[in-house]
Amino acid sequence: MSHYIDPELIEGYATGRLEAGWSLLVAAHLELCPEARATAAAYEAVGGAMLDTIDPVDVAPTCCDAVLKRVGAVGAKKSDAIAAVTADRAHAGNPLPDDAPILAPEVTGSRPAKDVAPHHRARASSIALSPVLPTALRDAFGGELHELSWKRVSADVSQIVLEREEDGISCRLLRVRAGRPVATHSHRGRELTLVLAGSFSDQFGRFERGDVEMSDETVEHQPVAGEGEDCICFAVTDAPLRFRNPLVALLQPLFRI
Amino acid sequence: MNVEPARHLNDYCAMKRGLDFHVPAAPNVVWERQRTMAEKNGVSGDRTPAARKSVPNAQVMANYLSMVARKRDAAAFEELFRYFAPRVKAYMLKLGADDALAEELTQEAMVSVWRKADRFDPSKAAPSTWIFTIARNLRIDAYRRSSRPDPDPNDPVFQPDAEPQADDAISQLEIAERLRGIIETLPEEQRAMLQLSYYQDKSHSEIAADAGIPLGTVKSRLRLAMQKVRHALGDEDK
Repeated sequence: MSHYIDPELIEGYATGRLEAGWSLLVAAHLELCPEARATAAAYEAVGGAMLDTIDPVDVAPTCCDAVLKRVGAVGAKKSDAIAAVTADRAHAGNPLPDDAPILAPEVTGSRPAKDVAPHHRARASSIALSPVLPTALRDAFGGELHELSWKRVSADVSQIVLEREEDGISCRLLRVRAGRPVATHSHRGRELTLVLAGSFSDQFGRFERGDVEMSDETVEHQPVAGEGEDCICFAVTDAPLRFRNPLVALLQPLFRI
Repeated sequence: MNVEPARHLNDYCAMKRGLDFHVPAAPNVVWERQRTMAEKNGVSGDRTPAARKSVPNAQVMANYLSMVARKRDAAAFEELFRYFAPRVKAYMLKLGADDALAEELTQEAMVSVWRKADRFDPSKAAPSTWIFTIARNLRIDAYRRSSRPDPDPNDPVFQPDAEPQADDAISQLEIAERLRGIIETLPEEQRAMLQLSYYQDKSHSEIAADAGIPLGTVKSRLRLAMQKVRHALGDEDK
């Protein structure tokens, strides 16, 4: 991996201010990039230290008992309490953290992620069956790549636009045929592109799985997919692209690009 | 964030109002028990404002979390509550919640602390960092009511961290102590940037525009602050 994300995006993700569309890309990138996770963990640790040093504000005196009552712990004796733990765990179901710190991977000893994921060996031959999408994207799009229905944009490009809240941020999966270019375009706002499979190249370099390219108004480029494997990306942008070819520009609204 | 906070936060309040959180309490009994617990653990149980500012260390809080996780220990939870709830409430207030919503979100956060205590892993994060992430996620939900995507360490595509070398592994709890010192002794202009970022949801360009300083200055101040933080975390070379 050679192309990293702007730390301000990770900061925004860790502090909670980043909009949902960008957060989706950051979450997917974090799963693929341990270095970015370390950055996110540092920002979260700052959040913890700031909580330690904040001037505390009194809470209602009834609040603690209200919490204990809600969790069923009012008047619990130790022996009852242990039974409650067992019951809690039995009901817990999926043990995945939905709000654990980023650096808290609950990987169980017998199931290290790298042993379950031979995708980097088998990817080229059986892309349809090996997992490609990070969890955040699989959840957002509702399935793995082979379960999704791609819409053709051109002979070389297919896409799936993510239907989401209208906040001006557009999210899509793009598939570009191996060795083929995307129409030359510049940007009216910010565009982030996370590579999920294959690769693409432009004047800024070659981008592979886990890499993120950041573009803005100053950038015009024509990404070309690498040979041998279709390039699959997750692209997020807050403004329509600006295509050089007027015919493509004419068709833009149709494809919501 | 562009949404006007109060409106959405109030919606959230209204949504929650169906539930009756407010039960009569016996605060004297609660504080009495806390005092005993605290004394046992070498923490001052005095409720004077000065004493409340004195900070028990991360190890003590981690022990309480472990007692809640293993024994559903209400007295240990009360200690956690006494330290963290006023801080979570302060955090919510700084982010624009009114008093009622800050109370509600604090209560939600502390309910999560109880329910998820068994997921707390002191080798991965300090208690304050863990509780920060809980509070942060709650307030994101309160603003947006959409779920926040998180990286999933059990996902087959998850790229695991490099194995830490045993001899330079630093305890998260020691790190928390150091970080607190770092945040407290940051130059005022660096700390101000962090507060705008963490408590007012300002992007770097918004901070620059508001303060009338160049964007590069904002970024360099934050970078200097984060360099100290990452040095304390032991990953400054990455």
